Amino acid sequence: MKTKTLIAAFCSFFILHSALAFEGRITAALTRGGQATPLLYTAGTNCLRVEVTAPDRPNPVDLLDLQSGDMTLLFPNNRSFVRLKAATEDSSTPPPGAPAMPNMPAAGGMPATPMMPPPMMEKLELTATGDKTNLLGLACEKYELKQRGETMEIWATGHLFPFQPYVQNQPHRFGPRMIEEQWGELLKAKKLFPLLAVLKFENGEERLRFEVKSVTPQKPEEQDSALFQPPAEYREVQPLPF
Amino acid sequence: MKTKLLITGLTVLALSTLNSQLSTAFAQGSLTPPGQPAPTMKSADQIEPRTIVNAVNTPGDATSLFIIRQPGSYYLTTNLTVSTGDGIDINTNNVTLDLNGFTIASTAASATGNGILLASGLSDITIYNGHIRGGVTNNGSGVYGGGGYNYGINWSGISPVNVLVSRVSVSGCQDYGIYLNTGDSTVVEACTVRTVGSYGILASTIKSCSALDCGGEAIQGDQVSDCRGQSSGSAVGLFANATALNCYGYSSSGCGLAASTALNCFGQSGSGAGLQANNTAQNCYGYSNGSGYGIYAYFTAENCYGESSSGNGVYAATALNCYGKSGGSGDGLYASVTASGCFGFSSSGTGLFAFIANVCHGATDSGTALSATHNVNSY
Repeated sequence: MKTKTLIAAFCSFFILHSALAFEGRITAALTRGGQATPLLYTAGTNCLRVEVTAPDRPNPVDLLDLQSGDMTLLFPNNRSFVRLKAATEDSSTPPPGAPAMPNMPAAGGMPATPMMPPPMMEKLELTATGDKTNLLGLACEKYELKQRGETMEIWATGHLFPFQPYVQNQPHRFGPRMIEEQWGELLKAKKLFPLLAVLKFENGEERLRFEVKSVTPQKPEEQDSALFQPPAEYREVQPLPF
Repeated sequence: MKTKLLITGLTVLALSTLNSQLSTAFAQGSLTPPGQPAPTMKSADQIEPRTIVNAVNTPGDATSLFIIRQPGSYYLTTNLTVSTGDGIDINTNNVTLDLNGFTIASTAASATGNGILLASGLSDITIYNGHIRGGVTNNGSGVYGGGGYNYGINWSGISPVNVLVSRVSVSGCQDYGIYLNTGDSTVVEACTVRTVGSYGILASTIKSCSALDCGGEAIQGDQVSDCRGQSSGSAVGLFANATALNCYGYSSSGCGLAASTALNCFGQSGSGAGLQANNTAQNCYGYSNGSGYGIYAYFTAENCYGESSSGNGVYAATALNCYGKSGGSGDGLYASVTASGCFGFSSSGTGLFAFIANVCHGATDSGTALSATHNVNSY
């Protein structure tokens, strides 16, 4: 009896988990400065593919392992790919490899110059406003990001998968990061996916807009598994050493 | 008579200073040979204390034509061509390799191997004075293919330190041109790279270099000066983790030039941002032929000119003595904190926007000329 209960519980959990994990396709548009970039998200079981659908040039393609967070960047332009380990650091802190500012050596009896403080950066925090709505049939909650007087409003849902901003190249090392470079990671950390995100200048003009156009639940076919692997003719290159 | 002779003599003397033949004719020395050369009492190693790269001194293996296994100074005496694998592998520290003006080439049918490969964790390496060539080409749409090398100069395992690459040209590689490391003691100077599918030059200090027609970032370093980088894709044309000085960067659809601090630089993009400074841009020009920013400075833009076809001309927290122009609906100049001594123009957007506008001027064809929360002698 206990065994049957255990098996039933296990099956229920598995079915529930399967039902909750979104699989299918999401089309979206990322607009910056009036220029829209069409994006396609294809979600499989524990894997995700993000690509630009505009055929103007051989844009990189992102493949993400949703369990480990590891990413593979495909470069169709030279038929290569690079595997990137998942970043574990807080997005507001400098990435690993960023050199610390050394103390200047003392000279002629002068005391050592104290360590120069890093530039004052306002920490970005994703704040829930409490507003709720329904977009494309999905329950959403409104979040805000504020930095230097600029506000980004984001309607996000927890019913899809953790957001993955489209990545074109291997990330750089240090320097202040714009709000556009951080909002996606903050959503991802909270396992949210944005259906509508708008960043505006103080004068009200839009600086960035991410808008989901369609959500199509659809379990990928067997032949779709190739979508989540580097093509056989692609060569692996080593990631940048930082 | 004496006077005539004197005049003739002086004339001949003057002519002899103008005509070298006359001069040598008068100055030729003894025709007697100086005698047999005296023995130098030096060995061949003392006369040329360097080692020729060849099959005897630096025999290769199945993956590399030649391998340098001992510290020392090496040089080429001829061009090298491989049909597969690497040209030269360096497997030990303290090596100077003089390419001596020769070329290391690959005729591999599909791209493979490295022109020069550094083994894991090497230090004190100098490579200079020559060429590395593959057969990879760009089809004109940013797709790279063909034969030759994957990498021009490359390393494996742990990145090398104390490396200098000087006066080397690399062309036609499927992946990287000159690939070292940033954040450490690697220097690339006076090198050129052309037509590579990914990064052009990557090193900590890069100066007086040019990398064009690169599928990825053309130039990336910590300190970059007097360089030109041009990316054919969406990557940054020239990227400096710390400072870019007197540089030019171009990208087809990404950011033309990005740096923590950009001084006297020009960034240009087909559709992305022209120039982005994560701290300060000074004496810079940024241009976007699309909707990107002309110049984006996270903190300060000073003495800059930013122009965008349809996006924002100049964006900065503080803009000093800047000129921003938008040919569309973007802002000519946007300062989230202060604009001082600035001019902004927008065709149909806001000419100049600032929280504090101090002695500024905004203009527009059909939009808003000036928008300032605190206006100090601005119009």
